[in-house]
Amino acid sequence: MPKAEIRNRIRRLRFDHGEMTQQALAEQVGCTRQTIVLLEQERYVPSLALALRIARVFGESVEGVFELED
Amino acid sequence: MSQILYVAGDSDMRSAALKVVLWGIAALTAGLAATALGVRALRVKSPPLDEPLPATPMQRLSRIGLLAGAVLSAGLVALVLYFGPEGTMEDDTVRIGFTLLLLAILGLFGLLSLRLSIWMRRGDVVDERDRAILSGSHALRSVAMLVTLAVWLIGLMESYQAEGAVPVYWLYFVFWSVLVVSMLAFPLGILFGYRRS
Repeated sequence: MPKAEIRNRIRRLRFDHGEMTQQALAEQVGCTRQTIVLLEQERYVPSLALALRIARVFGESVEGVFELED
Repeated sequence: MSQILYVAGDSDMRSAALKVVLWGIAALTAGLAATALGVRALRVKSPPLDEPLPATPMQRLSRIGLLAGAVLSAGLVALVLYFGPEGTMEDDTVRIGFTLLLLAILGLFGLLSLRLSIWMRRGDVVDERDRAILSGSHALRSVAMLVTLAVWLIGLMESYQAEGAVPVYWLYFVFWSVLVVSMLAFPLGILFGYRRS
């Protein structure tokens, strides 16, 4: 199976939600700011639990935040 | 006759002790080499990030641990090199100093572990990525400790096989060197784990 890239819209969604800071998002989803930075730069693929928590904060489905790119 | 035998035995023991010192150095070197190889395996060349990464609490704790561990370990190595293995154990003052340094390392290790275990219960301080890095570092430390122990035991076996007995103070040095390797390998594994993004 070819390696898939996971794209995400976290940075866009943060700005759409009152310019939420990375720290504020990190605190709401229970991770460090460093993880949010790496997620936004698509250098880290989150666990399903973290992806669900991020989607919940933005009121989106997981597919609305993350996208699988073959 | 018994005096001659005793002198010959003593000389054999001294020659064996010298061999063990070399094996001890080899054990420490092997443990640190295993750490270096592990750290090299953890390194991944990737393009620079768009923005600088803020240090996580676990990174800061590891830097403190590495610095303090290196200073204390250097103190132990300096003591043993200056007084020699037998001198370190036979002189009460040196032995107490050596033991206090060992206790300081153990105390530091305990404090850092306690801090980390408190943080582990809080998701906003130590998250899933930190846990993955921590797990990799535990594996690296275990391999480094195992390599150190293996080289030490081969050395003791090769040096004292003819005598059939090992002076008890070597056990102390075996423990000490495994502890030093552990104290250095663990934070190094964490710090290089963060660089693997």
